[in-house]
Amino acid sequence: MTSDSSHLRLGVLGIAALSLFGALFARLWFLQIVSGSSYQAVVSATSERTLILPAPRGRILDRNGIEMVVNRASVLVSVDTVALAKMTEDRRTRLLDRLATEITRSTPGKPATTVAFLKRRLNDQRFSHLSPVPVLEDAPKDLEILLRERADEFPAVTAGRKTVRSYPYHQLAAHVLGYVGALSDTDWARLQKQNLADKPYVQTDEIGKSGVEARYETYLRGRPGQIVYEVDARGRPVREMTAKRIAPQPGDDVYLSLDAKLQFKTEVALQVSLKRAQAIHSTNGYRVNATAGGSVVIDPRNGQVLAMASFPTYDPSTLVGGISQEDWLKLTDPSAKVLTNRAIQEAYPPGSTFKLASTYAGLRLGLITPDTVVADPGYFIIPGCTGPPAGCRKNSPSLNGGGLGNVSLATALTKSSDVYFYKLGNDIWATHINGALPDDAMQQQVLALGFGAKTGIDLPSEVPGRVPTPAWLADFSRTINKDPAAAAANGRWQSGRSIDLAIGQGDMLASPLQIANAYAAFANGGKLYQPQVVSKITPYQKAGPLRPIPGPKVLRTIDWGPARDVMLTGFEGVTQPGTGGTASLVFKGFDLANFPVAGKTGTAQTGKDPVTNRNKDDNSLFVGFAPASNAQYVAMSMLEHAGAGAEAAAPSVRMIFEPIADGSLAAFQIPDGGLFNPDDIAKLTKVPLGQGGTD
Amino acid sequence: MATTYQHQRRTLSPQRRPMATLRRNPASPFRHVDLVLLGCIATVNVIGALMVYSSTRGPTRPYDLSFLKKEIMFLIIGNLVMAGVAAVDYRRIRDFAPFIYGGTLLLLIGVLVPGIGSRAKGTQGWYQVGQFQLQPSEMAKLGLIIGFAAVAAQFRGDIDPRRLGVLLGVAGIPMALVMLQPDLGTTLVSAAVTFALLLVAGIKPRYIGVIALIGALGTAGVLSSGVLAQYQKDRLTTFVAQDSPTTQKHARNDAYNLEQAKRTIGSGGIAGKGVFNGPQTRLGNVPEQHTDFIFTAVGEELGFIGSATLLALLATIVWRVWRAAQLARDEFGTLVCAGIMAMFVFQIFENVGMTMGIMPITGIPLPFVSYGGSSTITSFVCMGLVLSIHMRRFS
Repeated sequence: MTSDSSHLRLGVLGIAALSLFGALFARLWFLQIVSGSSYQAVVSATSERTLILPAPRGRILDRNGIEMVVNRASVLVSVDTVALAKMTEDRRTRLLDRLATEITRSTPGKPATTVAFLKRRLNDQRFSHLSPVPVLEDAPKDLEILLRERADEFPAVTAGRKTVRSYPYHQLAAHVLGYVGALSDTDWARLQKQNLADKPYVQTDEIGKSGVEARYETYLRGRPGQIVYEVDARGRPVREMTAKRIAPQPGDDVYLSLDAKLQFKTEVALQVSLKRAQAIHSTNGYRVNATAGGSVVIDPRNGQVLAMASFPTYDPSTLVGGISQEDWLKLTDPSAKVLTNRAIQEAYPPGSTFKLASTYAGLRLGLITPDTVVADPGYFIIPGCTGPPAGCRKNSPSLNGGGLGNVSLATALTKSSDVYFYKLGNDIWATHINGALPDDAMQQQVLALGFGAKTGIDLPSEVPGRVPTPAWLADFSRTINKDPAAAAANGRWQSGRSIDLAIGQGDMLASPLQIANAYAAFANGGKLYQPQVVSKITPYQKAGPLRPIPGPKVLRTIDWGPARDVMLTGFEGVTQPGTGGTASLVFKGFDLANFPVAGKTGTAQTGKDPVTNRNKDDNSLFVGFAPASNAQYVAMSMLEHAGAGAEAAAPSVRMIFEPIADGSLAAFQIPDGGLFNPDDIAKLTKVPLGQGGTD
Repeated sequence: MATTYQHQRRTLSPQRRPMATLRRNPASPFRHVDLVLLGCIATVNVIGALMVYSSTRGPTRPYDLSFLKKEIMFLIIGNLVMAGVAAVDYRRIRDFAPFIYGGTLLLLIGVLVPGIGSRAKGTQGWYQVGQFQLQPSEMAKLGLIIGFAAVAAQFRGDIDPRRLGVLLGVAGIPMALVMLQPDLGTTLVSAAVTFALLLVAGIKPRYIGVIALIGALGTAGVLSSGVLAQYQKDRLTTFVAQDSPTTQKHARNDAYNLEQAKRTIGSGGIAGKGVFNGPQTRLGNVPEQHTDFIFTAVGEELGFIGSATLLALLATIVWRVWRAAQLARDEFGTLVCAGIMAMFVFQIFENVGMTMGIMPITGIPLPFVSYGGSSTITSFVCMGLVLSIHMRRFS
């Protein structure tokens, strides 16, 4: 067949075929190249289901590797909602009824579990419907056994295991360690903004809420794993996509700078000292308000925190697996502030412990020298004062009118002469009035020691304290006085305020850690460190490689000048017998020869009780460093309303130093569960209590 | 031309080998086997078998090998049948055309008789032969082509209205019988084949216009009458409105199938998910994937590169058939090749097109790729005929 006509007709057929194939190619191009990625997304979304495998959190250990927070398996009762949905309404109701009854029976002391609660829980959108919904965490063992043995009565109910936080020493260092809890809505919103591709969260995850758990969340949190299932059109898993499986990786182990043994001793010292203070009868009756305090021990050579105690305290175990409303209200009671770490999250008037800073300011401003001697008659008349005589005379509150005679700088620190510092405070202000100094000359010097600003410790919610300045006062006065004239009158800084500031009273506030850190900068010869509670971070249960974290950091170098020796003599005298030192009675019998302790007492007035209109009992403070000339420890205690510094705080610091001084700390074993009875120890302790009036 | 070859060949020294006679004869059909065509068929066979296995093995071990085994058997039988058909001179087939056509009609009538033919999926269109199902409508397409070509070849391009009537009758009888089963897909293929055959046979352009008009009116008539089942109509309407919601259950099913098919192909992207690795294919999310929707497996697992290659291979096959039609020694050969070409083109376009949403869904297999004995063997018979026509273009 060769006719032209035939060729033409075949050509038409060929062109038709060609154009049809062309159409197929074009359509294929459109589907696979142009819209390929969107179809790809649809297919992934409908053909894959991802199950998140939570990873255990890292441990928290002390500097010597003693485990302070670990993980344990917890029984988790879950209900398979898919299986439940297949049951008849009647069977489902009866099952939930049985389950609620058994849960309530097995958890005495906790609120009863109701069917309504279970139903609410099962409909909670936070839970993935691919995995069973947890209805009871940390279930008792017998409930687990019951659910396993009577599995036929509890279809769709499983008792599984989950890792939760465990605290071998319960309350020990609770405020430092912090606790973990379920993600709150605000946590979730915040995490959504951050793109945490490395360690993604799901809404049912837990997160560090306070302390090291919160601050080091990114290290402690494990990297969740995943199992990706391919599911059929009805959503049933068909097979696991093993290539996409990711094994969960536990979080990093965080080693604290804390020494768990010293931490225990510090907590004992704090609580025992509070108990003993409560037994002291003051002009206000027994010091029943001595119920709170904070202690901190730091290493002045590097700023590491060796112990940090706060009372009242709590057991983070109670927060595992959910806490009852009643218990939570107790923890968050604003009058007790149980969750507050008083070592860093509360600021108190530092009282006489602040004389370190006043001295520094006086020396720097040239208003005192190491040889300055001041006559202390027990009171100070403010020069040029034009008010009523009583207002112009500042008594040394604790001396009951008696004077110390002529006091040198060293004696002023040893015996805590208020008059010495009243005069200094007044002199500084008077020099400003003469125009030789700015109005905040003293405050500027004080700031150099770290007061008035956060220390930068690696724990959340630290408070900066307050160093009052004339500008601050004027500002503050405006916020509380509506009348501009009154605001101006009350907001005017006068010499009396500089006098109060010089002895750490008035509006001056500092956290116990700030005070300890300032003394550390003295004890180590002039380095103000940024305190740290974490010493190293390692992979889970492995020695290395160490995660890079900042090492000790010197914030500022302090030049104490030639006065340092004189000051050191003064601080050493505080504990020495026969010097008239404010804490010499407390350290009677302590091996000062081998372990010389220098320090400073503080007795801070706390104002009037608004109910009784009587002065509240003073806050008791003591900060000590030892060995005095080559300090390795700075210990600070602050006990609210526990009386004079020598009455409560100084004995507690002695109790902290004793096991270090006699070398018994290394061999000491923390009792099981970290438990102790402060009443019993209070009865046994032979540490003498000092007296007020010597401060 | 043939004599020139013989003349040149004679100058070469004869070789004393058993096949020497064959080798020496330059006009021998076996010297002119279309190796390009055979190569393309073999490659498509391999891809087809692989895809049939991929879409039937199931998501998990133990994998189902039964479909693969049967498909390989069909391919072996098909290749043997192709070789057998090619070995027969197509002019002998032309001589037997009345018997072939008549036999086809008998098979088509027989299948409609309950007891002889079997019913499956609403279609009275199967002979149960042992464990296999023989589908006479597949053979009918070929019977139509051979019968039409044999008659049209005698008209030698001179087709008046009476002859046109005869040709339409030859094509119309098997089409009507197929429609009675009913088998819409095969009827459509047959219509397309008839149209192409009429074109190539030398029908005047104005007749083509008339037939096209009648066809359009006929389609409208068929759609509005009760000849088509509702599901068949819905398939066509689903195609027209792919994204609109519908309340008809089977229409929803079709829309779902189409959406799944498009998704499956689209998600393959450029390079595909890899053989046995497409989630849609493995999970069986595409209905009838190993038969009518086999192209979705190709699209998902082999991607644009693989799908385009497969289409190119099929296009090459079509091109070789078209070439055979041009080179054929007589009009019968030309018409048979043109018919087969039209049949392939339409089936490929309809099958691949429906999986991509540019053609309505009908049950038409993809030649050489879809699983199925009747269609595979029919395709091989077609290729055997084309080979026979092509290799005998000089003899």
